[in-house]
Amino acid sequence: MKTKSKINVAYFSPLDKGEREGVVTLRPTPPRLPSYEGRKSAAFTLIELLIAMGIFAVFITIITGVFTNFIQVQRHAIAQGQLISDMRSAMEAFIKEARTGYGSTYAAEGDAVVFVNQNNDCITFRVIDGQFKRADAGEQDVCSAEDSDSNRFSPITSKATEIIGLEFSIPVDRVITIKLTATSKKDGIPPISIQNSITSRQMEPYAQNQ
Amino acid sequence: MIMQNKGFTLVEVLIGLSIATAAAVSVAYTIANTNKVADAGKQTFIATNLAHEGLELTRALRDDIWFTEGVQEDADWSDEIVVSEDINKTIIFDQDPTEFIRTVMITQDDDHDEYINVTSKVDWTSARGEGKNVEIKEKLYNWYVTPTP
Repeated sequence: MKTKSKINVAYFSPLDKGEREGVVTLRPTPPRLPSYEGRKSAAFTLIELLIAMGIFAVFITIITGVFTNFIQVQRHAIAQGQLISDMRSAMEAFIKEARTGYGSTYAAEGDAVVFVNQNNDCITFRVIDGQFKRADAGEQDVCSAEDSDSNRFSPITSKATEIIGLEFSIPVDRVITIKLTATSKKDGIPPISIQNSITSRQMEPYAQNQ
Repeated sequence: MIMQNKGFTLVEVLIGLSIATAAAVSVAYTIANTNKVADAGKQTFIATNLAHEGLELTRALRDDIWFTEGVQEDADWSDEIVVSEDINKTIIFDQDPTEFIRTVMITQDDDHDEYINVTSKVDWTSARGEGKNVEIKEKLYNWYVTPTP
């Protein structure tokens, strides 16, 4: 491009100040910025790597925190569900037996309740070592609550559930009111209190050897 | 070609951010929802027991009337059962009144004189301030009175 003809000048940039018309000024090519093509092998610089790892670490920390929280909430929900399920089944067992039992024999003795069930067996429900337990003493002349050291007791709640409060009362004849508070042995489960009353379906008073 | 621009465009960044945000929000929502569902299950469990107790106490009241006052003359007997304060009192372990309020309603059955309809309803307010309730119904039969044909 040694020609100085005016025609060729039009293909270049407009003339700057100080450039004479008709003279082609050759400008230096801009310096090449670093690019992957320009390197011998494609790789990250140390700074790029550190920044990327830093962002990744922050991201992983946040995600891990979220999922740890999620797992804890989930465990809590499951433990509470098991507690409710356990309380419900124990209540169901107690209600069924008390309802079909003889209302005239209902007697509340502190944290224990005793009555004669539909098979004329003397039944005691009470709490022993944090478990809701039931004892069947068979036919008795006088039906009274079993002592807690009796080996007739068998649990109707699981070992994961701890009964922390049980109260029976007879507000009117042939009605048992039960107040039950239980919690899970797993940490962080708030106790659940329920209250229910059972009316006997046996209208006839209990007579032995009937 | 001197240099190729390998960065993200603004649109790509926005899309990426919105996806990440949506994922984070959905996870957070799931966690919050798990808590809410677990809590609702517990409250419903307590309320169901209380509602059931309302029905049982009404039944006891029916039987008690007959045991203490004898045979009722007329078959229209729902007036005999008056819901007392005791039935609506909902106190667990004699502590502070609970958040649960029980209402027992007794009405004469429209089709059969020998039945009454008992509705036991328990209202409470959830942790989020929503009003919730459990309502159970039962028909009680007047077994002491033979209805006139």
